[in-house]
Amino acid sequence: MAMASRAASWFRNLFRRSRVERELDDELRSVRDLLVAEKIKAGMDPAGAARAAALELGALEQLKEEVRDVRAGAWLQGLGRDLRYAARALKKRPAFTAIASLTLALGIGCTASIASLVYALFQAGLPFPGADRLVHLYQVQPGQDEYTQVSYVDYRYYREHARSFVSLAAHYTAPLHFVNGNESAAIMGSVASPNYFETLGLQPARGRFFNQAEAELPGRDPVVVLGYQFWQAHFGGSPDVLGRVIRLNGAPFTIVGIAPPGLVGVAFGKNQVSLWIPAGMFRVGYKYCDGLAPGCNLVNLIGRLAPGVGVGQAQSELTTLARQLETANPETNKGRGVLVLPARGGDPNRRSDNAQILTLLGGAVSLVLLIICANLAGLLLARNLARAREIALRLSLGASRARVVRELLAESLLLALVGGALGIGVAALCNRLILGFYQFSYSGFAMFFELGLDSTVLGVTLAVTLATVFAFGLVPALRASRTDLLTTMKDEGQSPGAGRSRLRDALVVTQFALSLVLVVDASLLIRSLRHITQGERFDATRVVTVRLRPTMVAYDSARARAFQVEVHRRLEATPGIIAASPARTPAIWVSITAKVWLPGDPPADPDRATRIAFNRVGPRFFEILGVHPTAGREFDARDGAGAPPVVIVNQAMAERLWPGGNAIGQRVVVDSVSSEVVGVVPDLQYRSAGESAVPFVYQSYWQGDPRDSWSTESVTHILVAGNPRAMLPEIRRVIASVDPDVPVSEDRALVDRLLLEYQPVRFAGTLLVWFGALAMFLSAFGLFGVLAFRVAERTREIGVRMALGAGPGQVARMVLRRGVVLAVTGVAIGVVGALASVRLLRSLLYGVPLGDPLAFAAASGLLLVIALAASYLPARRATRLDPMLALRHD
Amino acid sequence: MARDTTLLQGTLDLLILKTLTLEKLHGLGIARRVEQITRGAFEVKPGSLFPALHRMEEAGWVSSVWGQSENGRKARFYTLTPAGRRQLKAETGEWGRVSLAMALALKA
Repeated sequence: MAMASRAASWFRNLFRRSRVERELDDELRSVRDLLVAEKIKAGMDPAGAARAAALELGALEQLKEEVRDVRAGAWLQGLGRDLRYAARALKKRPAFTAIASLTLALGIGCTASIASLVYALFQAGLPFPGADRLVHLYQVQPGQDEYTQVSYVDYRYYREHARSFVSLAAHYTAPLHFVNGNESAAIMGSVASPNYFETLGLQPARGRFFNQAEAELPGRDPVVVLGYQFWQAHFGGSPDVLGRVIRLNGAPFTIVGIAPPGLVGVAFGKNQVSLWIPAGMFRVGYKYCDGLAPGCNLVNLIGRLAPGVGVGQAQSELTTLARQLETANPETNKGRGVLVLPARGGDPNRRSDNAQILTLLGGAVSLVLLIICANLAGLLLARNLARAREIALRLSLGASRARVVRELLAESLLLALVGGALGIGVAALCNRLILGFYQFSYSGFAMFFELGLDSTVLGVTLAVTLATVFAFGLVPALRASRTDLLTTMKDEGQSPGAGRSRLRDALVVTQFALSLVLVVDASLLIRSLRHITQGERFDATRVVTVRLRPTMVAYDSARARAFQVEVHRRLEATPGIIAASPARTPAIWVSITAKVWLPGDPPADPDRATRIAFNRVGPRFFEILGVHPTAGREFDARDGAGAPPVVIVNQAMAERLWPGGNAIGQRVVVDSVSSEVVGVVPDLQYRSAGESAVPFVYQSYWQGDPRDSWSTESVTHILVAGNPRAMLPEIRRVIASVDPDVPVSEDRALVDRLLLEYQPVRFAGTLLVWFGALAMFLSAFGLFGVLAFRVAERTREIGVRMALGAGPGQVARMVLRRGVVLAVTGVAIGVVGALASVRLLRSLLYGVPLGDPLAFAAASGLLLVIALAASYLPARRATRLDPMLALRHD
Repeated sequence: MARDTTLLQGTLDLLILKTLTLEKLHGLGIARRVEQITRGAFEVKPGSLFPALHRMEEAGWVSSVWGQSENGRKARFYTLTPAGRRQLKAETGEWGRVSLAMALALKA
């Protein structure tokens, strides 16, 4: 009942305010009339009675105000009034309002954008109906925090026995060479179990999905479902594609259906899928082991939980099933378990990397927001000082301190709300920037990645907005309301307390300190990026890489080898190309290993031999990368098939096997082949600040066994004379002139490849550069404001000094000194903070030490220069003061 | 004559509720009745009376209607609601305990 009446009066007060006000007026008028009547009855004359009644009632406005205050919802009404008042005050100062709300918009927008990235990577569900019931299943092994794939055989066991799922599907993402008529493209396809679409709860946009019968019989039914976007892009959305035949990795497939729009895979943050083929056609997508056989662990599982079944329940059932499989097939399943995770966020294998970079960016954006708040607090302090008389007057006229604080806070709230609203626009822009970084996987394929401002993110944004109101608005408001009435009125605002300017100084120092942290971090990342793209030990700037896979189109090994020989011959004969060399994997990366031992020291069990990072490279490979062997030579025409086996090692490897000695001419066994070391090269691969050099061994590409399909595929490195990107079409044309059917993929400049590979550094670097620039600008602006205010405040003092003979130089120095002292103090504090912050960067720094003195020196220098620039204008203004005018100034 | 006695926090509410137990009264009537029943010990100023009345109306202890005063003028009359009666009972009990405790404490 009390609740109801309260609600009713809320309603009344809010929506029928004028009536409530009128009733209050009526009531007080009637009370006055009654009082007058009472006095007259007691024998007073009417005029005296009216005076006495007015006296007894006291200040009517104040009384009304107090009544309004006790009314429920009064604060809301008060808020509305305060906001209107604030809007008027802000409109009077458009420059201040624009600067304040725009900087807030930048801060809030960036924060919202980072929040949406956190949401996308950790919390967002898949865009399907009922996606909250979907779970991913991964194979795990104790002691390894890697989430891996399951074999199709095991998948079928789980599918048949698990009761926790309505439907459990398997899928494998395969790189495919798509050919339709004379159009071809390197795409990602999905090899999917028959119930894949059903599990996701989707219906075909056209045609049909796979049926149970055709889906799992090896090689029988070459059918394909096209992705909606892929259909639009490659077939113009034509409805008569159903029944048409396309070629995937050289095999014909009949189009049977079109997937609904929006389906580009189920692995968020991984490659987008353009089309789907049934699990029975596994061989087309993967041929290094039989995708349907035991021990070939390729598929990822996604399941839809049965009604009422939780993740924990499914987990315990799957654990039991995994144990059954382990007992039945110890040779393939020993120690393998299954982990059930809700289908939310990105790849769990990248969780800790993502968390690390988001901690860094979250920290950075918080610093930016703090700087913005400090900046605004400084502006508001100065502004409130200018209004000190007005505030003192209001306080003396009976406004309570709380009332004044509330009004000033309302102004801050209004600024923050405008800033927040604009911030959503900033966030949308910032999200586009971020999307640019997540658009492609490191191998260059489009990624399944979305970034939206959903309700959770907007909620966070609102919370941040409201928090900033207190961060920048509260202290200035409290300060202003403590105005000493007498001194303010008497001194006409001439002597603001020293405490007030100390606070403003502290705010500027804070801004410089926080800016230094951001600028140091940004410069460390920029230096890292330079190391990556133009490493000290090699030069990637004029290199193109292309992946060639002749075995994909069912070439036999002799034909594949002949193809490779011809391609490299023609490439080297092409004008503009200096050299071309095949390699097993791209330069720099450690992706495969070989078993290595010394001839006199074979391991007891060859399976347990030391594994060393390994690559197979052709002649002139190191020349192409601009690397000079430190001893011996690199591979050349001598090191072909049938010639004595040779290897090249890096310095770390030479140091490990023959410490202090000469490696050239030594023998070493690499994957059971005894070889002679003919060259030593510098340690090539990149290292983040936390890692140490990795030993590396290189075999000659042309000495690889052609029966091993890896030895006939290549990542060909090409050194060009001009711009590598411009040479790409010509290179593609030359390769197609040998055989247009052979899949060409991942063709791009090595620099672009490196940038994709080191995406996180580039991403963090780009954002931090923006944040740092914004921080510096704001700090400079803050310092300028404080100094300009100081000069204005001390006009009379400066006038006296000048009248007493101080030259303009002395006056200017006085102002500049102040600016430099503040900036240096901030920078000094910032250096300590930056030293602490760089630990977050550890995994992102390449070839740059954590405490890189150059980065610290550059950042400090830059901020000091900025400080001098910001001090210049106020200093100049001080020197231009006319002493006589200054003395008369009040 | 009314002395300048500061009302204890909550005392005014209790007195207002008490004056309304017998009949509905307008604001000025409540003030005069309080002075009368406390024999002039408490003078209720409009500045504290009206905010208190409106607060109590918000709380649902009293309700108000417009009516005619004894001399035929329009006035706003306040009456006790059932919730107000309960509140009065509760506060009266509380007051009894406090005043007894105070009396004992001062006698000791």
